[in-house]
Amino acid sequence: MTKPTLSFVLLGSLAALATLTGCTALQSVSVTQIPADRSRPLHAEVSNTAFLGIHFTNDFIEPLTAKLMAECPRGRVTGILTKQESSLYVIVQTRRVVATGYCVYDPTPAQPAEATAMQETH
Amino acid sequence: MRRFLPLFFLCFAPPLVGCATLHRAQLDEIDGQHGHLVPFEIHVSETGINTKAVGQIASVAMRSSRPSQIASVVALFQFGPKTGNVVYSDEFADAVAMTILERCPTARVTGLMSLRESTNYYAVSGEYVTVRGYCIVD
Repeated sequence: MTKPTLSFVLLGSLAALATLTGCTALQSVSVTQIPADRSRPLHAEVSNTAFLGIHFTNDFIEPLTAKLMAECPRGRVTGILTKQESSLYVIVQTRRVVATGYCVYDPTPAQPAEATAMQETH
Repeated sequence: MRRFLPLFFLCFAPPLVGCATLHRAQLDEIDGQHGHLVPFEIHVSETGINTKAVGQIASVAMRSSRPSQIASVVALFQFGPKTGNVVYSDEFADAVAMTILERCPTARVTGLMSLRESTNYYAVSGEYVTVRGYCIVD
């Protein structure tokens, strides 16, 4: 049996390190009221990757609401599950905020009957 | 070892300047069918203190390990789960609800995104609560 070379050992160690340290942490979860009509599911996510996990701003989360609204124009987004997580890949950290929900279009409320009755009396 | 501390600080402090952390994010229901949406943003903050870092800086400045040791003892009293650094008063976020009403007098708000974040400047930090949302106007 031949003796493994130094480069082979280094590569093997790096691969093992990368596999073992690909850790994900769940930082926060929140959920809103879930609608009865769940026929239009939505999904939006924003992420931010930085070397050594040094992030200079949290602005990456700003487009999340706009992304959800774009998927449900003139509708109501509800049943939103917001998940904030971070993954560490050896020397690079990725922060991710994932939002899933449902697009609901409420039926237009009917006019109250009293108003019609009042108009008829005049 | 002690004479290398300033060098160590100079090498590693600059990348840590303004290091931003997002602790919590929460998104509320978005209602886009009952009027025109006008965005608003509310930002409240308080200064946080990293006791250990203050002790380290004091040790470097005074060329003594005593401040660092004292800081370590003080840090024992701040032990426990928390987001960000400790602050002098945790009431800085209490005004958020009233500020929302000031920004949106109709009280018809939607799409509220609540963020708890902080920016670290080594020994001190900015501890923030940010709320973004939309005011529904006819």
